[in-house]
Amino acid sequence: MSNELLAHELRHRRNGAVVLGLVLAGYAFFALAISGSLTQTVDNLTKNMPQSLKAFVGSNVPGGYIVGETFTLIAPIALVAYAVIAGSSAVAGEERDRTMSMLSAQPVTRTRILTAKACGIALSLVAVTALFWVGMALADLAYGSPLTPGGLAAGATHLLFLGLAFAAIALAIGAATGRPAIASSTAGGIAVAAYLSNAMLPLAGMGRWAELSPWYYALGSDPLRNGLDLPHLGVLTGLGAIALVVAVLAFRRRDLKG
Amino acid sequence: MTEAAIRTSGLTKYFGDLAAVDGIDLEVNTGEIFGFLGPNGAGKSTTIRLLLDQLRPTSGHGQVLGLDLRERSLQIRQQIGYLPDDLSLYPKLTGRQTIDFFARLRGGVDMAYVDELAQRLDADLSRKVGEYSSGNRQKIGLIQAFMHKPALLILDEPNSGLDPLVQQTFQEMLREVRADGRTVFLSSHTLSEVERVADRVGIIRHGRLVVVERVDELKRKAIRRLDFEYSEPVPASLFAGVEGVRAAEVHGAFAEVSYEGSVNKVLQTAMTHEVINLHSRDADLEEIFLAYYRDTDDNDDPQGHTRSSAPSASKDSSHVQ
Repeated sequence: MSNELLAHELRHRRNGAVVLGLVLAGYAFFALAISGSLTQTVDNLTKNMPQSLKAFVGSNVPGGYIVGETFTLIAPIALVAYAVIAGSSAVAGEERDRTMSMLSAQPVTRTRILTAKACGIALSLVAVTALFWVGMALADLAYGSPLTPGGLAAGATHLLFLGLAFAAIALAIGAATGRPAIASSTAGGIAVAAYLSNAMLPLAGMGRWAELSPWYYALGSDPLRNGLDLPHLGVLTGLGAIALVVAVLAFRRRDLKG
Repeated sequence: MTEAAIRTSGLTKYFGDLAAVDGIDLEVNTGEIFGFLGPNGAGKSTTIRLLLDQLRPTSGHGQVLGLDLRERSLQIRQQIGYLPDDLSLYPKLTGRQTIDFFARLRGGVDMAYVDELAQRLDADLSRKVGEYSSGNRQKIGLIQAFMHKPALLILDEPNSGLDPLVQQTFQEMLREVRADGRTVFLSSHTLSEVERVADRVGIIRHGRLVVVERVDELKRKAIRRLDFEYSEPVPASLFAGVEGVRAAEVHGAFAEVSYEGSVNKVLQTAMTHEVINLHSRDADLEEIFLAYYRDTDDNDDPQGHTRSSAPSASKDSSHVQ
């Protein structure tokens, strides 16, 4: 029964995820293609900057500025934005559109509805990230770079877990309130605040505080260079798991809106 | 004794300070068509959504098909077919995909029966739901509610958007469900939709169940109207205090009298002056409904001069000279 729900959810998400994945893959491919020539220029600009400012600009990663922008800014923002939109509309969106009243009258529990939606979003995020990785890896093969497919995979995996955590947060707020606008604005607001604190606090010499931000666990261990950081991935997984538990408990308890 | 299809006791739902459903004791028998009537906002949909566990009662409890509303909701939903008020479907799915989705979610649906239903209702399943008229969307909703031959059908304003011919087919389908020993719970704000098919009717007003009555009994108790035309003006208080008169309005030589029960006393009073014309109207549930629904204290004065009900529809009116 829940397979049918999951299939329905994936049908619903398929086009958006594929388009976003292809756009990211295309962007990543061309970014890497031109990065070789740009890196030298940017390196000259940033070589005297302190390390934290280099991190902020994104020039301290292997592959240099362009890869840094792609991995610390463009791709995570795209993934997190997608995650927040998908998460907040999953349950609450059906209530806004009033399709929930038919869905919840079927012989399926609320937990199953929510689980199917969570799985659908997770698989969509996996697909988007995988396409992004393919774009990067192809460019790496074609043009060569200091990056390795393994490093790229580790970086992409960290971004995936960041997206999953924010999707779960947005899903939880939507499941608790039944209001997609509240869910997307709150989860989106948290994402932006966390992004800024992770990027800015080290500049102010408050690097420890940045560890409160989920972004730290996606980018802080420099997975492009160092590979997977399991404790960091564990933090993001834990965050997502807590949000999911909250989502299930809140959704089972309350009155449905539409 | 057969088990009641729906039984609630003291079912109550507050939204903030507002009692949307206020202590409803309802009993719907297995195998009957029960009309659940009330104007928009009276609490019909809220009651239904409590039955489906979409809303949680503030107090009170209930059983559907003998199963507790809260504890056994999944089993309840396996055995019911539901059509929500103001139905919304996934706009990008076709009618066929929509039906398939809900059928697979349920399991065990006979797709040949789906086709039969679609044919009877003249439903178009080929296009995307977003392109449908509201009538065709409603047909998809009806097929979805009927397709698994549920023990209980809960239909919230099912007639909306259906043209008269389809409404007739729909009523036939309801009678077939009853003949099959299954139960229908039919909500509506229009009595005429319900009186043709329902065995009993419950009227809800401001969240309270005002009355539950057999439809034929309601008709017998119905408030009827007589309009008199006199040869000359009559006293405004002519019908005040006359047995059975619910309301009377006198304008010069014209009088409109609403009454229940026997017509004798009304006629005796009326004939104390010279009547030159008389209209009578058949019992109309619309009027009973309004009489139960209206805020009596707003409309009646002690002398009973004020008009108490608003309907001006004069269908079935007969003309006596």
